[in-house]
Amino acid sequence: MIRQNPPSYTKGCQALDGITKQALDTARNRLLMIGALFLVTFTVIGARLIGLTMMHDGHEPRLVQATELGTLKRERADILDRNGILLATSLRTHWLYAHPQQILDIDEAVDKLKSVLPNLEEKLARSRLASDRSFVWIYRHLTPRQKYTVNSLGILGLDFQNEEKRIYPHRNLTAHVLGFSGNDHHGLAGVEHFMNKELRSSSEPIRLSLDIRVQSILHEELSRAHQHHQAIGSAGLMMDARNGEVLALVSLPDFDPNNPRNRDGEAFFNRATLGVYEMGSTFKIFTAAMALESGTVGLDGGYDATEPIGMGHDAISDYHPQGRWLSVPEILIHSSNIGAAKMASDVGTTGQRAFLGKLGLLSPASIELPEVGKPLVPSPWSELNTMTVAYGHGLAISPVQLATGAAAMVNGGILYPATLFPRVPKETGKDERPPETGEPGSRVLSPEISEQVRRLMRVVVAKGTGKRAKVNGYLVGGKTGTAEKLVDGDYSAKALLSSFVSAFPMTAPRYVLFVMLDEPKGTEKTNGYATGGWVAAPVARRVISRTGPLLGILPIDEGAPEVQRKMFVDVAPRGPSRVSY
Amino acid sequence: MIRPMTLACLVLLAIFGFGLFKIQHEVQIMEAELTRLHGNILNDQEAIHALNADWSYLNRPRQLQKLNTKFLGFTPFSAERITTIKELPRRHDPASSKQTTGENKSLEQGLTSPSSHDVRQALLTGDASEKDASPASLAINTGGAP
Repeated sequence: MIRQNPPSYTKGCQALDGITKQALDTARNRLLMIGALFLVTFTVIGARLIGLTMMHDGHEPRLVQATELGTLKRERADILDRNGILLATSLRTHWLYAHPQQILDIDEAVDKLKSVLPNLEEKLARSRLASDRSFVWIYRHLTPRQKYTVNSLGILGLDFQNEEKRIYPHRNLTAHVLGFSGNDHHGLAGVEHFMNKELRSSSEPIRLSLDIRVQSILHEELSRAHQHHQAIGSAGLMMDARNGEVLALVSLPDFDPNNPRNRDGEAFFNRATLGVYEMGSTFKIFTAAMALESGTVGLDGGYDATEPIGMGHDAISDYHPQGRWLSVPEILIHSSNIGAAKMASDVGTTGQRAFLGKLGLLSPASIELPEVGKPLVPSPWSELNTMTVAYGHGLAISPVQLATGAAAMVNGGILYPATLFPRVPKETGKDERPPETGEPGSRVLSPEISEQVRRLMRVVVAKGTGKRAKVNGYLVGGKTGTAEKLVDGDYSAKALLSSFVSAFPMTAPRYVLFVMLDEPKGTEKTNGYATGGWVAAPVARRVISRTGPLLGILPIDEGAPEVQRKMFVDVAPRGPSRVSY
Repeated sequence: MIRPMTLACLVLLAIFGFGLFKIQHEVQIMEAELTRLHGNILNDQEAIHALNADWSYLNRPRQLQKLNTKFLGFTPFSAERITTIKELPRRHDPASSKQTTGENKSLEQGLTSPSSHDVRQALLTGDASEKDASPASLAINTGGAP
């Protein structure tokens, strides 16, 4: 039956066959294309899947986020001394607040609080708790222990807010260097103010060049002299002569930076950097160096100091008049104003101004503190000024400027601006460096003249006004200064500024120490004297004898021939009226 | 009739599903543990920080000196006690370098006999602590032990 296909059917079938075939072809083509599309898509998805699961970390998004472990975030970074001792840090404290509506019995609450917080101001707390506000602050800076006891009181409506308090573990010791910061975590004085941005932006601690051990010794010895001589103020600093790093900086009276609110203006005045003073005879070092450098006089030269120099209605006279010709070493030994004035006069005003300018004594010090005093420079700088500046009158500078200049005088003649930050990494053994190398500074004096100045400073301590600063083994050299202060426009013999600038050991000076007492009073111990040699030099002696071993300075045998040769000064070589010393 | 392939897939699905659930559960527990540990570490860091401040406070040089005076009696050593090994044999040599060369007598005297200077000065000042530059005087100077 099937074989009996009617022709029409067969014909129709044949016709249909053609159409079907075409349709099937089209369908296959489309299928192929769709298949290819799917293939490409699945390949891409597959590849992506492999990539995501195997190439990247394939974990699911975290449902539980663990606390990220990081360093503690603080409002201000720590400050360390050069040996890594903590000088300033921020500690977490708690701020007590209350919701007054929830307090049931105000009197009971205040009484209970007062029992655990003795400093609580009862009246204020009472009035705050009685107010109709929904939120009042009660007490700042609770320690964790206080927080615990307050919690255990079980008073309803009290709560705590975390905050930070700046802590200075060494209290007064670092007051004028670190300064302090306010409750809003902004530095208000000292390094805290100067480095405010750095301290706030980074959690890396800041390391200072300060050595807390040296700072403590200087503070202790200076405080003792300050009290003993009833000075109105004192300042002291020790500096590395070879790079200008400040190891210790003290200004008295001082304050506790942990609680700077109970302050009187006097204690907050930094005498070491902000105060400017007519320094007196310590300036004669600069005058001598200047004269020797310019060649107007040699170590074997000298000046006639028989008669005071009349200048207008005043006269330049000597404190210890010798009434004779004095050699350059003698001018320093006896601290002769007449000799120094004549020395400077020979160099001239221009030369003096240029030299002191090079030493940085005519512009504010570059130390990293906001409290930096501007020197009082004579204007116009007359011939008389030249003569008075020669012995430290008429030009007022800060102690840090004087110490910086003195360091340049003894370290081979290179001026390193004073800094509170370490200049050389601790690893490079500083002890090995010769005095003339180190940080780039500016040359202000030739090495030969610097060597002569060392001898001069040594002879002042060996046999001059600086005798009381002698320390066996550390070969101290220095210069005393006793300036009469201007009181009501006149120099007063009663109000003195007594100082002593020293360096040790003088064969190759490592450290410069400056000590200054403002208006010290003479005592029985000092035979009533209040001069630099009597009040400031002994402080230097004690500080050097205690810090010398600490700082690892090898003692020098003063009697050794090579040391004697190195420090030899022909005190009275020749002159119009030769006097044997 | 379930084909074997489908069956295998279902079984696998069940195994993986259970495995995933188990792992996720464990991870959650561990994450919670990690959070706790991180919290503890932060607390410890906070405590160490506070203790560091305390340590620095207790180690104030002046405070240590006070404690030393009370309990130990150590005194700062003077320069005389420090020397180099090279210098040691010189102790047996009676003719030490302290002899003056006579170059400039007055100066030599000033430089080589500091102790006599100090004694004179101590007599002048009447200061008990200034009798000489021996270690004992340093001890008094620094408020050390007797």
